[in-house]
Amino acid sequence: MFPAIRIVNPSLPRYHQLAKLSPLLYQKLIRRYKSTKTGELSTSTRSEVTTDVKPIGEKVKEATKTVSYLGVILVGVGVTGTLFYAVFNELFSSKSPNNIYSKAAKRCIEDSRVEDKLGYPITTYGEQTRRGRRQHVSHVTYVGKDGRKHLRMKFHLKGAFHTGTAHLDMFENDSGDYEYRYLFVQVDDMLKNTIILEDNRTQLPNSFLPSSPSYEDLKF
Amino acid sequence: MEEYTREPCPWRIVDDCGGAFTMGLIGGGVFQSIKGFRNAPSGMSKRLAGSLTAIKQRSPTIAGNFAVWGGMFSTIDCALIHIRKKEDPWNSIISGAATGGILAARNGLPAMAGSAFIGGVLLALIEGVGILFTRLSAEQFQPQLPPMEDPSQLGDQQQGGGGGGYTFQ
Repeated sequence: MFPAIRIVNPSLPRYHQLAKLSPLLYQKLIRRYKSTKTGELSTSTRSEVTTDVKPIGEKVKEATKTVSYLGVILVGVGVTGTLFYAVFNELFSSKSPNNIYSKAAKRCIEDSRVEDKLGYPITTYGEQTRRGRRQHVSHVTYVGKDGRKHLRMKFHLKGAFHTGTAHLDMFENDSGDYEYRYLFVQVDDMLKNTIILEDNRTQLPNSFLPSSPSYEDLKF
Repeated sequence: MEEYTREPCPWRIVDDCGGAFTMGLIGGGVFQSIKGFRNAPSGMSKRLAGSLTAIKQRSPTIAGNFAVWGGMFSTIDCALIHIRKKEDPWNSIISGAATGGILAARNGLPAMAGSAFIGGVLLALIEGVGILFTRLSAEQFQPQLPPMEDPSQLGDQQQGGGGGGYTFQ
């Protein structure tokens, strides 16, 4: 590389001494020298006017093509983005059904009464689909009688001796977090025992009490 | 809803393997028929013959690859369920990544990492589709719900009165 440059420009050996002092600076200088050379070349060839100008119809055609491709790409990006948003929301947001399920499942498993009743290795799962997937946990969000957002969920537990179903209801408190209204496990044995882990229905402020309708009102 | 008497897990592997094989066979058949049709020399009978040859040659291989993917995925999924004692979307995503990685094991570590990433992202997208579908169907279903009552299994802690310190008007 160096000999070639030396032929092009005899003044470069002057820089060569610089190379011994600071090689970085030397390289930068050489690069600048080269770039100015190529710059001159390109300016000299640009003087000719290009003759291959496209007619207006073709231009419009091309523009519509570009726009339609852009539209397809944008739709694709939008769909992918929505999917990723849904997944990340489900997996990482603390208010997502999946995380509520995780926390509730952990609480149930750590409870000694549940462990005694169901048997030690407890597996938790949701509703079973036709293909044998049980990841989807049945849940519903609704606006309760108190005007707040509630979330009701049901998932299954399987221990060594018995299976059980956990039911829970949560409400959104003033700071926007979910709090338990109740959480209990119903054991699927002959007695249908229920193990109540959490029942805050009576301790909640007045607005959470059922205003008047009870079971009688539902039977028409 | 179905009964929860039988564990899906060990049997699901066979199920998934077969399902993936069928999917690969049909999908690969369609794809290869079009490809063979286009690549064959001109003439309708030649094109059809080319299409048929392509299907015969390639689609069983594709189906086999799909089946390996499905079987491996399901095996790892079941293993994760057994280890984690829980079934949630993480299982699919992790097993998708692991399957991608393991099946690319002979191509070196960088290829493994790339395949694992692609597998994980793909399964995350599939999970996303599932999540969105359930969410949409739930929203459609919402307005017809009757007012929710507390389940009776909790007992009449409220209806019993006294303890709650409130009265019905």
